[in-house]
Amino acid sequence: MKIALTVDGVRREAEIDPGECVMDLLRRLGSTSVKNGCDRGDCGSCAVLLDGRAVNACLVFAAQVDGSEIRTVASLESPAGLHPLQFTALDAGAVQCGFCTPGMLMTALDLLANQPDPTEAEVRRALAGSYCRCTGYTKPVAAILTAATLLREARHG
Amino acid sequence: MSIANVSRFVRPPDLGAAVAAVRAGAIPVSGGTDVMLHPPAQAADMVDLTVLPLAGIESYRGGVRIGATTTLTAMLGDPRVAAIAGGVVATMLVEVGSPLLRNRATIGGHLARGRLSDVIPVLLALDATITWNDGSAHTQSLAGFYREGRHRTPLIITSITIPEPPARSGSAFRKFSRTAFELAILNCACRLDLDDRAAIAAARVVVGETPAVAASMNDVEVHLAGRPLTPEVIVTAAQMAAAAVPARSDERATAEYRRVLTEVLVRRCLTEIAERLA
Repeated sequence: MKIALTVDGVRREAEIDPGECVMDLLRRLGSTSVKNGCDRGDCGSCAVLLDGRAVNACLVFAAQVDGSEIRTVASLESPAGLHPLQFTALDAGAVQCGFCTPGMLMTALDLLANQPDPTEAEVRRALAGSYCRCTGYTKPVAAILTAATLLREARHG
Repeated sequence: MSIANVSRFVRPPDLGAAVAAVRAGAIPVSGGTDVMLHPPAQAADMVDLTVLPLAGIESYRGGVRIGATTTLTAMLGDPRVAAIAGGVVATMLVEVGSPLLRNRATIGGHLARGRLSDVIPVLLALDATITWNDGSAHTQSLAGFYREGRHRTPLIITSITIPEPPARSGSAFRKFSRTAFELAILNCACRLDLDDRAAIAAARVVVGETPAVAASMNDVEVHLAGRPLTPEVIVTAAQMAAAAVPARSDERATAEYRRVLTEVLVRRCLTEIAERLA
């Protein structure tokens, strides 16, 4: 079956298998920042924004995203530079092997869109479905809290 | 995970077409998170319920009615859901899976699965009713729905309704798991309605993940009815629940462990309610 969707601002059309998941579709379309960690919704490495909310792309049928808008981590960087979530992740040493980072950043993007001033506990709860096996979670949590501060400051001039 | 054995993905024009497809053997798909993890053993069509107007939350006869394709995240963010029964539904939802799962999983899909649930014990404790369509529309208590095994028959859940409990009522939920993200080893939802003399007018004590989806502790509920909500009554009720719970062993815990947990969680739920109603 054929579907059309927008991936990182670019309209795409694709012939899909009815049992195909969004993660496999995106990787097939070249969005290899979407990582296949567990393939069963446990690790969050494949997280993307689907119509504005972060989801495990491995657990969403591609057949259900016809007409939808998907954002991957590749959409974060702008001509002005890295997104604060990317910058603070690097600055805080929250990236080691980097495999979980794309999904974690998209999960954090969803959190900050809905809770611009989260507590540390709220950040940790938001990352409940994002597994990191290198850094642990202290540095990613600190990076997200710093990014939240930067984004609030930018918003308030 | 891409899955095999999906013949077609059908986008039904209306509920009638979706029900007809399900009755012909198609699998209803809402968020799809559970279907992805448990693909069909044989080739089957999928019916996409998200194209139907089944999402949304509305006030209904003093309670709240939630459309079947409403996500758990949408429920969690809704002030009417947050307000009902002292906030016990929202308290529970925070402990269901991860935000990534809650953003996609729907209440209808969750209830259709009928297992591995923190949601169902709470809805049973609140006397929720469920509406579904198998060619015609039906509404019945959620307890009756599961008792009759309706969730294993070809139908489409369309909504769930949670009534607002009486004024002097308290509800509580407890989950025991390694982390909130993980499946409960045991969970418990209780509701107590008090009468004018501060005695218990009605009680609901539901223990879930026994590992069956949920068990109403009817003997405990009968024992509580008419009694004052004292520490002694609570301790006795918790002990009765531990003795009566139909606990079994599985890979997550032994039956003995679950019985001990039952006593602790029932006691904590009832104590929380007593403190709130004091």
